[in-house]
Amino acid sequence: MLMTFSAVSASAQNKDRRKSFKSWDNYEITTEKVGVDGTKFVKVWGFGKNVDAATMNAKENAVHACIFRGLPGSATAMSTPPICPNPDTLVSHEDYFQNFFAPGGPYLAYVSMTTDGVPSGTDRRKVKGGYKVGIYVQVMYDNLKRKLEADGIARKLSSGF
Amino acid sequence: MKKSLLIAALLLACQIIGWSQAKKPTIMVVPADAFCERYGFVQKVNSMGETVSTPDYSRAMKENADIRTLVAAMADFMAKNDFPIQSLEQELKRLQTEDAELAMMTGKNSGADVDETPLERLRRSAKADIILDLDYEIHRLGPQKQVSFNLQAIDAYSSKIISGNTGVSSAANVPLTSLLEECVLSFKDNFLSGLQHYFDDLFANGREISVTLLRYNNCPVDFEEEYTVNGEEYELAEIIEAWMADNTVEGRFTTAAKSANRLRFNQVRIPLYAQNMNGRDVAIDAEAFVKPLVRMLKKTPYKLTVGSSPRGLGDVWITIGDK
Amino acid sequence: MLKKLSLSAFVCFVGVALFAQAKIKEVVTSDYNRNSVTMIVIQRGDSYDSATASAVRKFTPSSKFDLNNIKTRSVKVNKLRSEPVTQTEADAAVGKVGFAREILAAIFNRDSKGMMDDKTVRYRGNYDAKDQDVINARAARVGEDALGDLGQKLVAGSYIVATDFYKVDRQTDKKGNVYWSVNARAFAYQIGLGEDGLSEFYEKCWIYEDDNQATRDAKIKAFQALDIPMVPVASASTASTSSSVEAAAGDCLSGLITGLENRIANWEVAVAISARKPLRAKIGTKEGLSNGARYRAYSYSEDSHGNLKSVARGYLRATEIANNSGMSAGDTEPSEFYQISGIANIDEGWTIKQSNDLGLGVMLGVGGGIFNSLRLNADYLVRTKTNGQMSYILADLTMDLGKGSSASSIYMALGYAYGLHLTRFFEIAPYLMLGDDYMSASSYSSGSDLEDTARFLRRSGFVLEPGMRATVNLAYPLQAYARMYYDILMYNSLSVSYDSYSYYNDRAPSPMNHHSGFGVQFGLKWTF
Repeated sequence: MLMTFSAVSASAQNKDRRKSFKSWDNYEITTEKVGVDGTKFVKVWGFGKNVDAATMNAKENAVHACIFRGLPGSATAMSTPPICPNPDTLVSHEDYFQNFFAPGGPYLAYVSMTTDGVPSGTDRRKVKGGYKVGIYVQVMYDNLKRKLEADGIARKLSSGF
Repeated sequence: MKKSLLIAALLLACQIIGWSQAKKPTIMVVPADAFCERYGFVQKVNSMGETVSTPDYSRAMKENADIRTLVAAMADFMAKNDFPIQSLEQELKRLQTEDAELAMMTGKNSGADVDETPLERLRRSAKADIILDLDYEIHRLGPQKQVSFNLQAIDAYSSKIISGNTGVSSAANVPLTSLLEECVLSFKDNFLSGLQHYFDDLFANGREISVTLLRYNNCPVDFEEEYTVNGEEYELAEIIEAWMADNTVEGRFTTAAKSANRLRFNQVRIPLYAQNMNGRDVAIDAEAFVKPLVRMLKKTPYKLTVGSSPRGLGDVWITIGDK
Repeated sequence: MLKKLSLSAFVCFVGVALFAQAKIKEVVTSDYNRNSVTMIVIQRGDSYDSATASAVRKFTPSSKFDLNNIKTRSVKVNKLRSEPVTQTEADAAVGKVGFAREILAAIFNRDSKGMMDDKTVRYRGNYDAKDQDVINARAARVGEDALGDLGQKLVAGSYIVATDFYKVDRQTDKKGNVYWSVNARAFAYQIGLGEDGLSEFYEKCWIYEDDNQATRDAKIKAFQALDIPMVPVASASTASTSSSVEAAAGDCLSGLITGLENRIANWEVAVAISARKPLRAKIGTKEGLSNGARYRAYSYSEDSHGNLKSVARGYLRATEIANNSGMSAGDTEPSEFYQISGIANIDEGWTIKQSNDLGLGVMLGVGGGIFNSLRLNADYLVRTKTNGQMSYILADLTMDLGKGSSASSIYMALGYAYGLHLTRFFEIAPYLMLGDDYMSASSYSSGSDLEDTARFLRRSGFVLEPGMRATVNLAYPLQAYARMYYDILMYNSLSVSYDSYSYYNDRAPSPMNHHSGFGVQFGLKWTF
């Protein structure tokens, strides 16, 4: 009985996660400056029950934006298009991305936080249900693109020739 | 969705057929006319009594280190994406030698009225499929510098802009190379995405060129001359249009001008590859595309004197009545 | 009934007023950049001009400021020194001089040919750069070279402080010592130059090496015609007394700067807490931080509409001050702090903002000891340690009117206390005070014989007071305290010299009856 219950709750949780995965679009990201070669230097916001969870969420968001949303430009940096511009990519490769964005998943290799210490000042906000934090991150955009190309998710520029 | 599926199918088809000789589009960076004008890298040329200034690329490349920095930075990221950039400098040198050699020879030189501009000639000679037209300007803000840039990727065949990128660098008192490289990194991904978009279109719809047919005064027929095909009378223009419809990708082309003396087709979508006389797949340009048409017009029942002269890669002029 | 109604109406009104106030409460900013100042003296055309000018010239404001070495250091207001200069008069006097132009000339090292450079700007940009700026610069393509360009932002943070000294009074005590008392008021002005203003300045006035003579002349002319206002932002007043006008004027200056600091938000240092246990933040000598300096902590929250709010979260004091006066390399040494109030523990990432105080606690309480009376005490915080130990200098001033007795006493004491914090809310401090209980007849007017040492001693009873004080936070800076002590009245053992004291205390009709004994005192403390 207990086992059934836990199984049901686990699947419900999983379902929840999948659901949130699909509607994953509610975050802010801005390009800070033109990053060093191969990277994107952005400020991204995340939400979580506590500051650490919100920081992790912000990192996920940064990678998510590079893959699916693209990065907005700023006064001195042009916008960056998404690596996978096709809106169906997420659906057609859902299992791949579930794994990619799993806690501690491969996405972490493509993002590094450059905030000095912890999110602080106005970048650390208590909101209903948890925290909202803004962090500075570098996304290894070129590496991420190559990884997705190698895994057959994104198309190489030279494919077809 | 449908379109993307089609592209995917086409891509798959490409891979299955396995064009091992599949030719990647070549890319070349060329300083924009505005840039050459601004920095005085121009040649005054006397053309039919009028002095016109044309960009002097070799001087621009030689005397401006900044543009070399930009080209190097762009070559770097293009190489990383498996698209080596053609060196404009090398191409210019090659052209110079070629010119010198040509001058020694007495070639056939009938079409003085169908002149190519230096750029067109460069495009054709370098056979770059994509020209990156680069312009930048350095602004001084007191002690700070700021670079504004404008990079247009132009399809050498259709002269259409594939992707346009304009923006400014940071304003800072730092070495100019830093700002120039910042510019390149700034537009890099947007530019690549524009290219990707263009390639997708290329695979799906073929290359875009234009074809112009002209009649010399001494030609006995004009484009309204009628011929019998399959027992019906058709104007020469109609016959040519029918050929275009048969040979373009999905019959895509537009008749832009049609008169007794002149026919012009644009947005002509030609396949990327065609079989040569040995049955091998080769990449074709505008001139290669119209070769079968030229051969057809030379034969019965038309028996015309036909010449074709390319203007760049994507524009070809076919003359009837003379070569 | 009517009274009740009006009372509730009043409560209601107060409530609305408070609510309205809360609504317009500004969000406390979490960033701080260095500002630059120049001290200017307002001259009156009298004999004190040179002394006050010299005091201002010699004064160096806190190291948190960059100094703009401008040419004009005085403005003139023709008004008698007995009256203070008003804001309007100061504005007019400052307006006559092109201070903004002089500031730009100083910052951009403008030479006689009108050529300028950005060496100072770049130096300041690098010097002001925080660790986050350095890390951000490393992540960007233009890199750390561009850190110096942060200095462009700092140009708008240029101020002049015009100081006026008035009501200069000469006082002589009975021994013939001369004292000068001086009142001072400072008016701070900020350069009215936005980011666009700076671009415009560059465009119009910046001479490039390759400019021809005509262009150069035009740019020099444009510079001379620059019309950038100096915007009044705040004023502060203070007063001081010293042995000379110059010394008294000099003493006023740091007080004026502190006063202005409390009124100009941009001057208040703000930084994030970078670590807990102990609390650390990346500020130090560069920001003029000193031991005991008080900061207030804020955290940020968003309401349901996404509006940002700052929430005050208690105070803390600087303890160990880091020397951070070099250029940041991304790993600045932090200073340490001790939290002194607030229910929540101050957390990493919270903003702390300068909130100057005097470190002066005033206590009022009643209790026993040598006498029963309302006692006024003060303590001055000398030193704070990271573990919450604090040193105080104590002072006590109590008058005992003796309730119908023939005499009255003034008790004055000085001492030292060492406070230990068990928690931030509760301090326990052993202390030792040494006091003098001076007695005289009730009708006796004090003062005139004070210089007569022998007489003074005869009327004095010395008191040694070891004790223990416990303080608990009610609503900081309001605290409640209790102290237990034992007063040892020492005149008995030295009875020969203390005849007058013992007369009033023990033998006179209805004597004062001060005596050694155990005392307990309760009261309230407010820290200023």
